Amino acid sequence: MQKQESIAPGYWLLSLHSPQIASAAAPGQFVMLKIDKSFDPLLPRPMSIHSVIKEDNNRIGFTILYKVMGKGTRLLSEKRSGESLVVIGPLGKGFNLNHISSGCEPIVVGGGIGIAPLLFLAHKLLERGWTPSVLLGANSQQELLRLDEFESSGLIPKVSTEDGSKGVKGMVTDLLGSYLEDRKGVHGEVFACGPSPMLEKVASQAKEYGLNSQLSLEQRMACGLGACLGCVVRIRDKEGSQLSFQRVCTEGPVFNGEDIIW
Amino acid sequence: MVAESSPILSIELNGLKLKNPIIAASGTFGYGLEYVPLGDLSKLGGMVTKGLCMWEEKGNPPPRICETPAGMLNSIGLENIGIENFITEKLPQLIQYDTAIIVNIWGREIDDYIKAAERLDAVNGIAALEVNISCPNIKKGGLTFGTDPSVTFELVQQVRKRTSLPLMVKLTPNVTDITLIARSAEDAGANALSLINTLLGMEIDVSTRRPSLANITGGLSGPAIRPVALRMVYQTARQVNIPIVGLGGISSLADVIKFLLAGASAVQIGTANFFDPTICWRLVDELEEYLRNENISDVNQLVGAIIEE
Ligand SMILES: Cc1cc2nc3c(=O)[nH]c(=O)nc-3n(C[C@H](O)[C@H](O)[C@H](O)COP(=O)(O)OP(=O)(O)OC[C@H]3O[C@@H](n4cnc5c(N)ncnc54)[C@H](O)[C@@H]3O)c2cc1C
Ligand SMILES: Cc1cc2nc3c(=O)[nH]c(=O)nc-3n(C[C@H](O)[C@H](O)[C@H](O)COP(=O)(O)O)c2cc1C
Ligand code: FES
Repeated sequence: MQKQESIAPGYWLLSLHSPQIASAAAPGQFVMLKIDKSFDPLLPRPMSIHSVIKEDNNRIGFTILYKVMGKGTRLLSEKRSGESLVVIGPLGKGFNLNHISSGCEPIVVGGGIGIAPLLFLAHKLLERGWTPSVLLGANSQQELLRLDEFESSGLIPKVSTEDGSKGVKGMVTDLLGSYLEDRKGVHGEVFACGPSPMLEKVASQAKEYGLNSQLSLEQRMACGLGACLGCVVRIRDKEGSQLSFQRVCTEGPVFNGEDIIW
Repeated sequence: MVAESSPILSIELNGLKLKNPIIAASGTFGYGLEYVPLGDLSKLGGMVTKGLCMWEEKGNPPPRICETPAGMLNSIGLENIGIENFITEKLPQLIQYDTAIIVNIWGREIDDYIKAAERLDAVNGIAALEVNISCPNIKKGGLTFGTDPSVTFELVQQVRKRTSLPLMVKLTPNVTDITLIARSAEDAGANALSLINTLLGMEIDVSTRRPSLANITGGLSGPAIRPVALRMVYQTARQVNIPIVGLGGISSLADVIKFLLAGASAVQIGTANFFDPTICWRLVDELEEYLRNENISDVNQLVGAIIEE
């Protein structure tokens, strides 16, 4: 643990030193973090890779952006730099950038703590020559996190808050709706992470405007390695409408919006 | 002298030889290959596959797991790729490792077990079958096979006739007297017994007033169940003459030794693989070091060596 700082009430940014994980990491991938040696909490917690830390152009570590939800995250927020954590990763399949063409317009959509994997994604997109549109939403201005980081990369996120304290009053899906309406016929791809109802809405909005969407899902996890089969979500299998259970830790966490059965 | 040479770690389970007594438990180690990035499978005494059946089983809807104090509940619903896919897709890679590959089988009626045993008997590279009798028997209104001594006897006897592979019968703890079921399995020709499977439990999310698992109930595992498992191993060891493989909450070397002292000849590591993914490998080293430090020349000397007076 290199550093841990609170960036808003209940939200923490943790910097971890690990050249191995950092150099192998791709946007959308996650790590399993065993927070404490004790048996309570017992299981490691999945956390997205928020950004990679570089030193002289070498990746030496990565950050995690998290929200205190329960026992595990509270305990994590009490740890201080210098302590060691057992971390396994990078895990899962991240966002797929291979099939999107150079003329494609990436649209990055984050709700609440769902922005965690999106900064790394935005950096990667910029590195590969795209300039993504970034839409971010939160409950209030206080919970709109990491705007500076997006801005210092040259991006200007459009923002919404549910209480109207910053940006458009409403939800990030409202932003996405008007964005897509303004650019009817745009050749783009939507990348999103956030609470499940938001993602369901994003999937249907993208479909409505004929765009592909890649959504990062969550599920409770035990192993993170594909072994326990505990983390499945409902996915339409290749043949079409048939239900299959797929593992968020292995086939995901990023799935095609059209394939997800909500 | 004794301390100079390496202690003996190998054990024999009535026809199944293991290089050491550390086995990865069913359902917590996938098909083994998931853990290849973390360690050399050849170092382990053995590994048990996820429970397999004659068809591809989708399993239960999510959420399937939930953490509990020092444990977890699961209701995976025995999702598996099916025995045929296992044989063609997983086994060829697995047999490259010099470890005992134990295939866990289950079914909804006795005939499913028979077919599974016959199919696997014809395949090379499998060291033994572990028969999971902790699942519902549709012919008996969903009553678990392993809660009835006569059903257990019939099931194990039928499977016994179909295979020459060593049979390890895995017992459910959700019974009033596990030793009765253990004796039935022994009488029907089991080579060894493994115990325990998960304890039936449930959890409710107070904020939503809903069960934490979509299936409502699930199996409890992890450190929380260890004392129950240890007691059952101890009681069963006194009642049967076939070897016992102990499991339930084992998370450290001390836990391994407790189960050996209580009468287990080998142990399986389950839920601990999730929160300590390299534990199986570490336990092999730690056990050897312990035997050396304690001047014990053969791990078998610990089996049943509990002191009671
Ligand atoms: C692939 C993946 C990446 C994630 N990345 C991040 C991230 O970058 N930042 C972040 O803040 N959170 C992230 N999460 C969610 C995070 O794992 C959970 O918030 C965390 O495990 C809660 O642990 P806890 O002990 O604090 O809460 P608990 O006391 O365990 O639970 C509190 C609440 O969180 C829910 N919960 C528990 N585990 C999970 C889980 N694995 N996924 C979703 N909800 C859960 C519980 O149902 C409960 O309602 C991610 C989850 C997944 C699956
Ligand atoms: C997620 C999960 C899946 C399991 N799947 C199986 C299975 O398919 N067949 C089986 O016989 N036991 C299964 N088990 C039971 C374990 O093999 C073991 O008996 C039990 O968890 C107790 O040991 P532990 O506390 O060390 O995990 C499963 C357990 C867990 C936690
Ligand atoms: S968390 Fe175990 S299979 Fe995904």
